[in-house]
Amino acid sequence: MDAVSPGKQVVLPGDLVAEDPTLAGEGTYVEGNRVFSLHHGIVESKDGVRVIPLNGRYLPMPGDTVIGLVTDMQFSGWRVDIGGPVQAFLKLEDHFARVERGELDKHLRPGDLILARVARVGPEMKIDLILNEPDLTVLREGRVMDVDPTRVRRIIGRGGSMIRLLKRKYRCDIVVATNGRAWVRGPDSEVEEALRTLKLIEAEAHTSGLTNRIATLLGVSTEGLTDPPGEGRRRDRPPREDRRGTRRDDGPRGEGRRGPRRGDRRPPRDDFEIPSEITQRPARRMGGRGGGRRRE
Amino acid sequence: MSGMKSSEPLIVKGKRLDGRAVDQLRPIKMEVGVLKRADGSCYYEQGDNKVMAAVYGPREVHPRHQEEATKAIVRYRYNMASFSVDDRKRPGPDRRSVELSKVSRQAIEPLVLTERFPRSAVDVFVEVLQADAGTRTAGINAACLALVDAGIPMRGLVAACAAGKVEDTVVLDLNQKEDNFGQADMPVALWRGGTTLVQMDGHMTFEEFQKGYAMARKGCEDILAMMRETLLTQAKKGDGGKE
Repeated sequence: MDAVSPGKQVVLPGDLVAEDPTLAGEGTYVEGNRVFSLHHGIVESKDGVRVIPLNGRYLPMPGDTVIGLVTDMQFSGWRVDIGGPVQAFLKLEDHFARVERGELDKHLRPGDLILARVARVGPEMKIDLILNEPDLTVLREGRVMDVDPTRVRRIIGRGGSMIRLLKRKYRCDIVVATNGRAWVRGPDSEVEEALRTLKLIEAEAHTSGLTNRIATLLGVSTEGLTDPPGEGRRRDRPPREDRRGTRRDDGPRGEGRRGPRRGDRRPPRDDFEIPSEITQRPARRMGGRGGGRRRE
Repeated sequence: MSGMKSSEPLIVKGKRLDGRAVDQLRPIKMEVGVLKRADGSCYYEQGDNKVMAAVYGPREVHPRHQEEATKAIVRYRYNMASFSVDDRKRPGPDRRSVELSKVSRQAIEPLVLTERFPRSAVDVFVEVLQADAGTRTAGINAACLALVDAGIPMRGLVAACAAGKVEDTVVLDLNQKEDNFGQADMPVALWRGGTTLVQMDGHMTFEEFQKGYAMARKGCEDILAMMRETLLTQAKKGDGGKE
């Protein structure tokens, strides 16, 4: 395997990374007018000095798109595990549907997976999630895989190039969330392949020229993978109708509620533009084949 | 420091029973990322000491009353396996291991950026699988490597090692026989920013203490260099040792 990209310096906690405290950036601390590393990571010296950790847990930041596992229902909302140091909370009024008090279980139950956004991170590590933005949803189908949160940036690629490459190859919807969980939906065999490729990218995340190598491996052209910045961002997607009101499928939760087979879905469009760096297509059918993880 | 006399001389012509010089460490082996389900882990050997460390977190605090609103708590459990010593050790925490857990926690806590993770806990588990004197220092070294492996933000690396007095000679890194029949044992832990652990069992004069401390310091620096190399070579492998 290749070494860490040339020109990048690997440091350990406590290593001196700069002599000028004004340069101190993320992943560093200042002591006696000198800047030291906080992580085992790679030094980045663009406008200041930052240390990008090579491993570690997810630390929630406002604005992160995350895949969360509902763990508990409470009076005013749900507790959600997002892989951070503490659990996050989704208030019922931040759900996209109008949720009546006492009817929380009609919308989300422990075991459900959601694609949510971190709204606030309080000074006491109180993490609030929201679900009422256009690109956020409840994940009722597909598969979720854990990836190393420190490698998510690489899996997405610069400007979403890597993820776009994968979508070009596999007829799948793919979301790689900042908290180190990847969601893939599509025909079973393609999902399997896509997850394997994601694992590969994760393992090689620190090597250079990875997008091109993966492209060669998959036999996909890299043409037009990176958009000129500013263009092609679609954050302003209108909300879907069935997001208002309660869930469309109020049928019984259980074995009998299987939707049509997966394979016959039309392939994802290729002319689709990537909405944000975390590329995501809304679930078209919320009923579908029942939540992936929950009933296994 | 039983005060007993050894049946054989412990130091002959500047060489110790195991052939080491007075200021020489036992052979050290370390491996990071050995436990898949832990956030960070390390297997560490120093002479006949064999220690496994696992780090979990930052994660939610259970029981909840232990949690602190402004910082993470660090919990450290030093435990000796019942088979780690010649006579079976009665399993479970005892007075000795509770004390060692505490001092070891205090040796690593100043390095962890606890303010970064309010309301959470960093759990460190150190299991001594085979003991041959100096397990607390081996445990601290293993814990430090496991913490880095877990990606927990830290101000630096700690290393620990012991010095002591055997047959009126100051020596580095005592083994079991030297510990049992020697006159003093002094574990030290330090990092770039200072010393986080000094204990002494037995008697040394101030001059002996100074000499021992300097020796331990040198030993810690050597161990630090080994730790650095271990961690950096695993970074090159790119997988942090996992899988």
